[in-house]
Amino acid sequence: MQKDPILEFDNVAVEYQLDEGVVRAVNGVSYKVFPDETLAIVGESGCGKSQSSYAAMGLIQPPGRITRGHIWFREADGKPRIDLAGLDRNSKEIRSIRGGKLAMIFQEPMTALSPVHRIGRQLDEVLKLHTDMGKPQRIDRGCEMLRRVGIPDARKRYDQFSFEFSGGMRQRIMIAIALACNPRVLIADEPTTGLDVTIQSQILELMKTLQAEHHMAVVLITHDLAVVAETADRVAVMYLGRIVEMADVKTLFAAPKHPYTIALMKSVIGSPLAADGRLQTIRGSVPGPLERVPGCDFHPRCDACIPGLCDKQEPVFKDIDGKTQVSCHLFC
Amino acid sequence: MNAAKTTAVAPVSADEAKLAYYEASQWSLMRRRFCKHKVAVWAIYILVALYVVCMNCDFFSAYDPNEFHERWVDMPPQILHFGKVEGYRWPRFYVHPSIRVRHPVTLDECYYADTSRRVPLEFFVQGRPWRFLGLIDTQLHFFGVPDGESCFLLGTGRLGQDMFSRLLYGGRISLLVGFTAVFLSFFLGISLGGISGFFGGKVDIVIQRVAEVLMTIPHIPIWLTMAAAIPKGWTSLQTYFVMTLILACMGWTGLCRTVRGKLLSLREEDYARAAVLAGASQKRVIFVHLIPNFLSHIIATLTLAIPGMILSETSLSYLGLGLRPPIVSWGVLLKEAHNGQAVLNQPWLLVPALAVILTVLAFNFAGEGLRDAADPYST
Amino acid sequence: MKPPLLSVKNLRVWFPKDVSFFGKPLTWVKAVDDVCFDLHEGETLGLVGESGSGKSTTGLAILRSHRPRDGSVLFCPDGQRVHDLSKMEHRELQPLRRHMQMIFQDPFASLNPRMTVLQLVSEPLKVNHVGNAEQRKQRVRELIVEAGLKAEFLNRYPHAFSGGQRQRIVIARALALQPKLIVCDEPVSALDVSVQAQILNLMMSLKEKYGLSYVFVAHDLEVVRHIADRVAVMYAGRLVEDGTKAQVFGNPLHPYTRALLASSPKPNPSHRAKRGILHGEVPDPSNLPSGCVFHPRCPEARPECSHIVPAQTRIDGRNVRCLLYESGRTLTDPAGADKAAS
Ligand SMILES: Nc1ncnc2c1ncn2[C@@H]1O[C@H](COP(=O)(O)OP(=O)(O)OP(=O)(O)O)[C@@H](O)[C@H]1O
Ligand SMILES: Nc1ncnc2c1ncn2[C@@H]1O[C@H](COP(=O)(O)OP(=O)(O)OP(=O)(O)O)[C@@H](O)[C@H]1O
Ligand code: SF4
Ligand SMILES: [Mg+2]
Ligand SMILES: [Mg+2]
Repeated sequence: MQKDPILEFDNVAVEYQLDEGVVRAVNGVSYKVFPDETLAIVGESGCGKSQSSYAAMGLIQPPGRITRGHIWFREADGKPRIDLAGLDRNSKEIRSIRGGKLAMIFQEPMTALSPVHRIGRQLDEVLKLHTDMGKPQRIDRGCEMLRRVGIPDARKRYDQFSFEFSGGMRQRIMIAIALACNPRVLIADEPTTGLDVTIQSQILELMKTLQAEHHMAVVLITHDLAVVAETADRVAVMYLGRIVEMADVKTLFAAPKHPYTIALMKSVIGSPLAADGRLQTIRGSVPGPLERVPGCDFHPRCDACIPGLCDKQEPVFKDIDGKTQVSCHLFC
Repeated sequence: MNAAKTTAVAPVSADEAKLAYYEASQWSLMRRRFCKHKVAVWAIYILVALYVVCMNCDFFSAYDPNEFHERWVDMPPQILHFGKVEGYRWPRFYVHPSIRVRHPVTLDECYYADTSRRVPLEFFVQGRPWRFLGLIDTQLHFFGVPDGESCFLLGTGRLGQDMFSRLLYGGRISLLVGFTAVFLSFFLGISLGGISGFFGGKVDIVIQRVAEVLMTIPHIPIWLTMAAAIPKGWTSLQTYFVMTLILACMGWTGLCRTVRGKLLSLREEDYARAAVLAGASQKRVIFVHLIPNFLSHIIATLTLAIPGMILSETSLSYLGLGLRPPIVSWGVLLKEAHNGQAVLNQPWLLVPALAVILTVLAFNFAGEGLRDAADPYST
Repeated sequence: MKPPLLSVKNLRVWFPKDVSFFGKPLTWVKAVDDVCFDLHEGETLGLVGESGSGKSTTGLAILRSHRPRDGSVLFCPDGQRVHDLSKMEHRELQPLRRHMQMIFQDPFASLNPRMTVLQLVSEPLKVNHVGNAEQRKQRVRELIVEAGLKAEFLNRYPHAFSGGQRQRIVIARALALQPKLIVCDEPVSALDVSVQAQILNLMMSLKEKYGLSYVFVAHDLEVVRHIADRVAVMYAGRLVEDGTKAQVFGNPLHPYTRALLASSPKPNPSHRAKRGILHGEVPDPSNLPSGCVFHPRCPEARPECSHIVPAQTRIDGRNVRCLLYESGRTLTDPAGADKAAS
């Protein structure tokens, strides 16, 4: 294809070794992200969306660890790629990348900012770590970032504490901090969950504008299909730690292939109702984190399940028509 | 009908262990969680052992704590050994008897262990009389040595008292003071805090202001005045009760605030509100919904409050403001050790300090374990 | 004519914010201010609005978990006697409680972790002295099966259940006394998409089966569009618009309703319309703007909006609170009215 991918997951798995058993938080995830592109990762709660991005950031805490796979990251075009999965989570390399060229916005805007430091100081810290600017330059840059994320009166706000800002404002500050060092990839973990729709549309619009200016790749993690439809270029649908389907956004919404994707889309409120005038639902519920399903993870809930195959053999994740990658026995 | 169609699948596989977990009550979840905290479990064992031994100090000690052994003054500990003793078939515990000599140069008295002889320890022997639970007269003791021999496992004091016995008797007082003082302040704290938290309004404001004022007064001067107010003629038992009262009066404020805070937050919990909306009476909300959810926190808070009380008693007595001889407490023992050059010449007199440290640490670890277990859902 | 099941008139809930030394409130958080609506038997009223707009407070004030500062809540469970809940003492409310129940947003907080399913679901029966222990147990069994759980879950504790299953327990509990009215405070917002659909379906079937009426609080417009018959939109403690679902979604009048509808994302990537973005944020309810509370963010605001408080205006059987529609004023700007009507 055209350019090299900036970030590439290759069969990454994350496991938590607990007393009660092994939790497979991420179970063989592969995807690539290119410059200027937004890849959305959707899935229900607990399917491993956050954990897969933590793996890239080197934020998996013991007893969890990356048990297999590679996470290739290219700091600049032409530079050799680095395997983030192989780095120690406290190593110097990962610290120089994390928050610099590879930035992340966290799920909880309330807890991701320190309540005891002025937000200016938190901006300053990132710049100090990843650039060699002097103090006055850093302040200028910090204020400029605040202005760019739409915070009026930036110089005054620079010296305030996070609790003096509303939820939406805090999320803007998170974005300002994440983008301060011109990252190549921004991982946004549910950046608008818990915010009102009016604020959500402001934040998503802001992210789009800034992405175009910086030519960043954005990995947008969300559980909201409507947000995906509005912002993503490509979509990966996750279920139980795996990507079950990946396609560009129009293909996915026009012709979803995997039974889970189809069922998920039908159960979105506002989509056509079932014959009895009710919402369509997915049978059953997501198994607990410690439970292991033989064969295809989705087969106990799947309407198209092929007995004798789906409940025995794991499907492989592969390209079926040059547009969509699916992991389902129906397409083998 | 439709509801049946959308029935959620219960977390699959109904094997026994899982079912047991699903049907496990809060208390058993807490116990499980507490047992995971190895240090806390050990701390509990240590505390139980300490209390059992100290509460039954009559039984476990070989001597009366206030008995003077003029021949054995300031004697270092006789070390406990295990091995064969002449005249006995099986190996057993024994000590070497001490010999008192004058130092040829300094002319000081000093003790040597006579390694040529072995004095066996005997268990469950008859000795000085005491009363079990204050009711049953008995002469049974845990251990002793044959008549005419001596066994001072932790050495002796300046007047020749057995330090091991004193440590146990001191422990009884110190550990009890901690307990009773905490329970007294617990009653003050929980009732005032409960009133404050549940009724709110003016009552709340008054109680909170009083607690705040009490908290701002420095403790030492208060203790000084109160201790000075105790008439000299009072018996040691009376002093002891007044001591616990003083400790409790100063100590309830913190508990009161904890109780109030917890009640306030629990009262706002959705489930308490749901019970009210279902038509439950106030009494039911308090006794069925609030108190059980709050008991575990209180137990943890109490456990963490006891070491503070023990330390207060120790430091008060050490300063000479609290208990005085002939009552023995760890603080009293430390005060005695403080006189002279104990640290250099009679280091064994400082053993009570180790006991205090051990107890305080054990309470802190146990309390921490309990506090973590009190909320079995948090991670 | 039969009186409505629930009629809220000029409801006002203010919380003291700063209190003087003697406990006298100096400033107020005006969480709910002058809210009026009616709810008829068998209807669902969707209450939408952004965070902090006073939806939960309204719901709680209806059930008298908050004491209203002003206004009345007229409740008529049997179609004959009307009770004004807002003025009643707790003791008088007790017998009425069985006709109105609540479902909370957070299924993890609304179940006492120390009680089994049996104890939880039978609590309303027990405190209202319905049946003996054996009858109650039987009834609980029916209820949880009705709510889509299995009868053998009776002795399990809440920690054994997922969010969706817990919400089913909450629903079973709310149904226990066969109430007329259930106030649902965002019952599905904490749940995953596929579980949301299951719970909404359950709530719809139960409503049809038992003729329930819901006050359904939500911030998700699609959920309200699906479940509600009537919709009321709240902003900063005021009801800015209410009407039937078709009216509010099909032809929103208030500029805030329009902005809210425009800014909610649509699951269709082929028509990525430029979304109407509403700038600014919800005001602080202890320091509300003068005039129309929405005027600082309103794309159609006029100079007079900043000092005249709009009154509730009735248009074609619906209510709007906006100066654009106040009689007499509409004529001054036909363009605005045209836009509104189209
Ligand atoms: N510290 C941990 N210990 C054990 N298991 C964990 C831990 N953190 C996460 N997990 C498990 O990893 C799985 C994936 O979690 P993750 O946070 O990635 O989900 P998610 O898709 O981001 O969900 P959400 O939408 O709720 O944020 C979950 O099943 C969870 O149980
Ligand atoms: N007990 C209280 N004391 C003081 N202020 C309160 C209290 N309860 C609510 N408020 C305030 O009243 C306002 C309305 O709150 P409410 O919870 O009704 O909003 P909501 O519309 O339900 O929002 P959300 O979507 O976040 O649940 C908020 O600003 C809140 O801070
Ligand atoms: S592999 Fe089988 S069970 Fe899994 S999604 Fe495809 S059809 Fe369904
Ligand atoms: Mg997550
Ligand atoms: Mg609310």
